[in-house]
Amino acid sequence: MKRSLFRAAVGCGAAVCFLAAMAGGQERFRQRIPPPDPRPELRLPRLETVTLTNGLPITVVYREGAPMTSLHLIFYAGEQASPDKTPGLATLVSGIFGQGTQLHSAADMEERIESIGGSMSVSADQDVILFAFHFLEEYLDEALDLAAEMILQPRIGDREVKIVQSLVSAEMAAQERNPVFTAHRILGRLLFEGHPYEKFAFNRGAIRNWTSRDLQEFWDRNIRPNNAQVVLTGMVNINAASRKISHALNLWRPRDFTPVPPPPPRPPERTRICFIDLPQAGQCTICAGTVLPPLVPGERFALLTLGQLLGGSINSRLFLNLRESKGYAYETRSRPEFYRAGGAFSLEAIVRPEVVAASVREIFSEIRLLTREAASSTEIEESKFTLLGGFPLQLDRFDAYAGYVANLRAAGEGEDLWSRFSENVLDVDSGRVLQAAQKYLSQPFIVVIAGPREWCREELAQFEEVDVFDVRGQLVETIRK
Amino acid sequence: MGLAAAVLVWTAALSAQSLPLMTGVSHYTLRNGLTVILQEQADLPVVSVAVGYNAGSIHELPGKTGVAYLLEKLMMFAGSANVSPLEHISDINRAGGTLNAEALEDQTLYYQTIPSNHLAMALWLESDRMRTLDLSPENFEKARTDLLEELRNRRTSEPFLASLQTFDELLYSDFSFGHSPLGLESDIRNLTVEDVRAFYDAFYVPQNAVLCISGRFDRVRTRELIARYFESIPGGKAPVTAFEEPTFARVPFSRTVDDPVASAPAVFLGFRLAPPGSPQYRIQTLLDFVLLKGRSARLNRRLLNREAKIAYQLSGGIERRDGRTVYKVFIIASPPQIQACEDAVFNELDKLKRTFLSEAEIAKAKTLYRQDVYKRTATSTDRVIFLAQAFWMERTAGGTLDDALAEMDRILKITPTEITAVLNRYYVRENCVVLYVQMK
Repeated sequence: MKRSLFRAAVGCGAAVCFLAAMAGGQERFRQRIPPPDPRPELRLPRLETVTLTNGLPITVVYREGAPMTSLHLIFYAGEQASPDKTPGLATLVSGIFGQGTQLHSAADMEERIESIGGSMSVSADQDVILFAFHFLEEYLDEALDLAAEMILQPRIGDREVKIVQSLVSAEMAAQERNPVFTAHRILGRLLFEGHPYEKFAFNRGAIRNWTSRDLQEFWDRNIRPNNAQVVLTGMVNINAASRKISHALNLWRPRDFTPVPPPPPRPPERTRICFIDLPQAGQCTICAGTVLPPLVPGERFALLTLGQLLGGSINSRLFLNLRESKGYAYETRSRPEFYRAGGAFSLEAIVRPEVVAASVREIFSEIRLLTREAASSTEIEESKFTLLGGFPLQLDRFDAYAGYVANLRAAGEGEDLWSRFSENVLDVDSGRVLQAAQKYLSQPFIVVIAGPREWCREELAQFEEVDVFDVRGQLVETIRK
Repeated sequence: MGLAAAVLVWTAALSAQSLPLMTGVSHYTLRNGLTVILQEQADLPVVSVAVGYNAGSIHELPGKTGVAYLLEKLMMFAGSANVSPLEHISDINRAGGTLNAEALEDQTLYYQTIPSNHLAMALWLESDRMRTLDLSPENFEKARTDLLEELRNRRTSEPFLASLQTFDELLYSDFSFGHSPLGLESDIRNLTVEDVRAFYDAFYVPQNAVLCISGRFDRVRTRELIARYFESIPGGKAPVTAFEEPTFARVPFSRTVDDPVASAPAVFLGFRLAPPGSPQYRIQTLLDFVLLKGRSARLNRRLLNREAKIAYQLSGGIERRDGRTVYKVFIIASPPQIQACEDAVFNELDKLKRTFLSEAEIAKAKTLYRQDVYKRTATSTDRVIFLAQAFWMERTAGGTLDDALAEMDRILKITPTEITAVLNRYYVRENCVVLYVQMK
């Protein structure tokens, strides 16, 4: 009898527990988000480097199991190296890689590239021309022969220049309908006015000035092994890679010159509000930015954290303010960009035209707040947490190591952003973020708004002064309050 | 625990050459019918989770179009019993992760990629919205307003969207397959929260879902987590959707439409092909790399040749909706060149029918196909999407996941003679729907 009572009591207890656990008709574990496990270790392969006798540095990153190999060639000849009279020349050079060689037509080269399961892209930014070539891993020798032919025997003639001119012009014309592209191009030009980086923001007008002679001179001066760098990733080690690259590019001759790095950029002298009329745009895109001079150690990671905290995700201040609280914006973001000489801190918001002025006010109020008050340690830790979590995701693609490491090399960076990324982020605290904000976000900003003027005329009238530009970046008028 | 009931099945050993990024695949089914596919990749501490539902616009009823896409928006933003609106996105972003969803004609996919230590959170979030989506009238109204706005924006700004919808109606010919996943504005306005709930209750059930995980994870613990979060969700019934196969007369068909936002004249060509899972389907897949994929593919060379370019733009490829397959070619050109472009396509097809492909050309097509598969399985996100889609495709065709994973080996064995036979049967004018698009 006692025993059965005991059993009944246990049964009742279990039932009570069960009911408690099923509070609200569900299991208890459903009510609370499960905590993360300890952060897993991120072990990245070493960046192995060697320099060939012709001065060409090679970085190899071994990636087990990659079915494709990636070959990146960085030429330290971005738009900052274009002559002042021919901005955009670096972009022309990047287009010439796709125009065939002295031995093979463009169509033949495409055929040969695709026969090894390859794809190629070449682009120019402020600092470098980046040649990216991905191919099936068993074709490394063939790929190196193709790359060598493109580098050593380019087809540079008036016909090729005309083709690239028309391709770049058509692409730019299409891009000019995109408010984000147009706003960022003018922002880049105004931020770096008078600095070599300004040439990166060239417009369609500049394209007409290119000639095959300019191109040949630029090529002879800049496309040299001692002004370049190779990054190779895949299932290949440094010894095999250097032997094969040396074999393919042994005729590539260095040039006797000392590269002159661009001077440090200067911050804008005053805050400016600029506008581009895009009648077809449904919303207004606001881009704002300031210049970053060369940084002192540690500041890069404080700025990365700051970019995350201000506009890195939907948990960031700009999104919470402009979208969640005010309902002004569709999207917001902010981030620092680092070049070989300094960089820029920029932010972006896509807002309703009727709230442009209010949105700009809110953006500046968020920036001011960051320069006055240290963010809470919880907010800083959350931003760091996001940066740390996002880092391995950037590397997940089998060819992502190559792209990431090539960008590091392009900006003159190394292990700090590779094997020591996590430690560097963990070192950031709210004091360092405040210091970085006070030092850089207190500078004047350039604000560029791209949108339909018809819909935001009254909004623009709220600013003291607005410089109005056309889509190509020509100043059309200045409107004053 | 439900683990005892779930029998783990390892996929057949695959050759290392075929799918090097898709090794270590196993699958099993929970008691409630949820299929689970695991793919271990120990490279980086990253993991992707996808849930694919066999639910898309082809499952919508007349008068209720847009419901599948509306439900996708609600799944993304509305929240569920234990997750507030936008919290799913916010939690994934906070961990440094990314997420997205895709509403296709025959299935809807939800996927996220996070650092490996957040796997439990991703499973918890996915199970909560599978179980108890918050279909409050407020959430429903907000999603409907957003969808109507998107519809208006896209219809007034996206060139060729309207003509593509007309083309699909002609090519697929029946309501289920031919209507747009965006839905009709009039239907969306008349949808009720009960319509959405009925669709959710019928299709968003474990019996009609596949859960795919790829990346670095501990297999035993992951199976425990899956059982914990998913096994008590009622399985529901796998919806029975038997589509009647239309019969098409083999006669050339063409029509002309005006497109109010077309930027130039254009032509759509559509061929009705053999269904997924058939030997012809594999040949069609490879043929795509001969015709259109790659700058040196035949149609690209012919229409976009630097020396004698006749088209502004050329795109297309194989499109699969449930058990049906079509091949689409879309060309934008100047008014006098439209006919020349269409003729050039058929001329290239005729040339292919007359002479067998050379060894070099077929080898290049196979190499490009391999490259394409590697790129489509390059990240853990790519792999969960690949697995979910392959699972539903094979299930529709009556095959298994093993069949899907062995597809590449079979395609690499195709011979020129097989290609010619398929060309003669399917890539002919009598099996082609042509839609000319004029600027209004």
